[in-house]
Amino acid sequence: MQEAIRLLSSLLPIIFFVIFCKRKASKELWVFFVYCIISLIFDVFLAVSAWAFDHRFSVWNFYGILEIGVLSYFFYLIINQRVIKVLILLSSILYIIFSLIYFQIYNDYYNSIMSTIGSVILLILALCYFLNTMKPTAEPVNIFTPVFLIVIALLVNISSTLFLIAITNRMTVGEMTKYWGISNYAIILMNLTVSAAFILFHYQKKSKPPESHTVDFTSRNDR
Amino acid sequence: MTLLQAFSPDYNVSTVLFFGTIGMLALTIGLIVFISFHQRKVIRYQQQLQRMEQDQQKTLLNASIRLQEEERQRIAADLHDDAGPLLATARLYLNENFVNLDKQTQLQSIYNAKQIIDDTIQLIRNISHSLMPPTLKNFGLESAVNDLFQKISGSGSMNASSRFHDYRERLKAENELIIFRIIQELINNILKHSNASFIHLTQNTSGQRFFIRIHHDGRGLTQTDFEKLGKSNVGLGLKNIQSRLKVLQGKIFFEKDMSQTYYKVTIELNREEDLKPSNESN
Repeated sequence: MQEAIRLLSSLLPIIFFVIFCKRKASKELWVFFVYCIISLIFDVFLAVSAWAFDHRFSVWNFYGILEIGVLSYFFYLIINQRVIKVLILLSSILYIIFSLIYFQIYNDYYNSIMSTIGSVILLILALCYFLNTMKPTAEPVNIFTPVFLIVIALLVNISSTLFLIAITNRMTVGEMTKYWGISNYAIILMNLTVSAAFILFHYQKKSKPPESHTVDFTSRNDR
Repeated sequence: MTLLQAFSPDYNVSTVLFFGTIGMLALTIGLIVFISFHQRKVIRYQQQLQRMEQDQQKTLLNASIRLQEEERQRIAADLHDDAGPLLATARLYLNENFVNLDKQTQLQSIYNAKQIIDDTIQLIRNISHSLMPPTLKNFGLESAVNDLFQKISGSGSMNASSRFHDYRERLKAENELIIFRIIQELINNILKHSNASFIHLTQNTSGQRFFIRIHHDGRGLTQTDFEKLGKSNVGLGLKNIQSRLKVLQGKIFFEKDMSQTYYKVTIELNREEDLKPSNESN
């Protein structure tokens, strides 16, 4: 039941993106849309394919590599600071290289260590994004944007599954069945928040105030 | 710590998951709440700042409009009270009975009318010079300021001198006019309110910055007085200086000299693209 709701919830962000954001979406929203599609494909693949279910640890490991790649690119696009951009590139490249090495060597059980490291990287990137948005600016900026909501969704998802991921490869099958609900609920919550973000994008675009027209009182004609 | 315990052989999965997940969620929610409150506070503060700046701009704009109106009224009064009667008198001399008069009277009338028209020309020239000093237009800021200071000195009421140390190339004509008007306004204030016995103006540059400093030994303003007057409804001239400086993106500092005998007014301008001479002004 939970799995079915989780699958259905994965569809929501895709539907809302297609309805509300497809034409005007910025690059970062497109990247997140790609992430949603990848997640859905993997979920469906695991749900319908017996082979995928039997090799689910390998599938999860491979999904983890893709997830970090796409989400690192998402953070790369939304963070302005050059130093952090370079760090994102370095960390994601190193992560992918090490994960691929691990993937080659131990592909028949879940790689908790690399998944935990990946989650910690994403947590740090989310914190960097928040610090970046909190920097003082000359003009008042509304930080409650779709991207902000998406990062919140990611943060909630990652933080609530961090401990689960960290101890997954030490759990028995029974324990996994018992506790995997945490991941399902976290993903459902994330999908709902991301859907809200896409709806917010639509309404923010719609209600954007017209450009202000100022009069130059200092022009020569006025003097 | 909990994470470390998780990897020890005798850990309890449900305890680790419960405390770990709840702890992380609490931290995340705390962070989100903190960011939301912080951002709301920042936005409120910035809006307040913006409102204050808008009020200040409104005051400056009102001052500049009032000053413009006063200037127009002065010109209108000059034209109406001086040029009008003069031209009317000249017209009287050259009225329709003029042809019926004898030659001697005609010559006298023409002479009188010519005198009056000369006076009117001089009057209009004075009005025009007060709008745009020809020395400033033709020879630049240094000459115009020297000219102004010579006139003040010439009146005998005050010792006035000026010295330009680094003025090798002229600035944009409109910027020179603005700087000249600021200097005029400051000098006017010193003459009116300070009771000073001398004024000295120096010009200098430092890198990209253009400085004008005025010293005088009378009663002067400090920066606090200037800011206070800038916010109040009085001090139209000072507000006018502020609005002109805003156009040039310049700054002004009022201070009492270290010796406490002199007052200093320093105008600091950024000598970048907008202050450099343009081809059209040459």
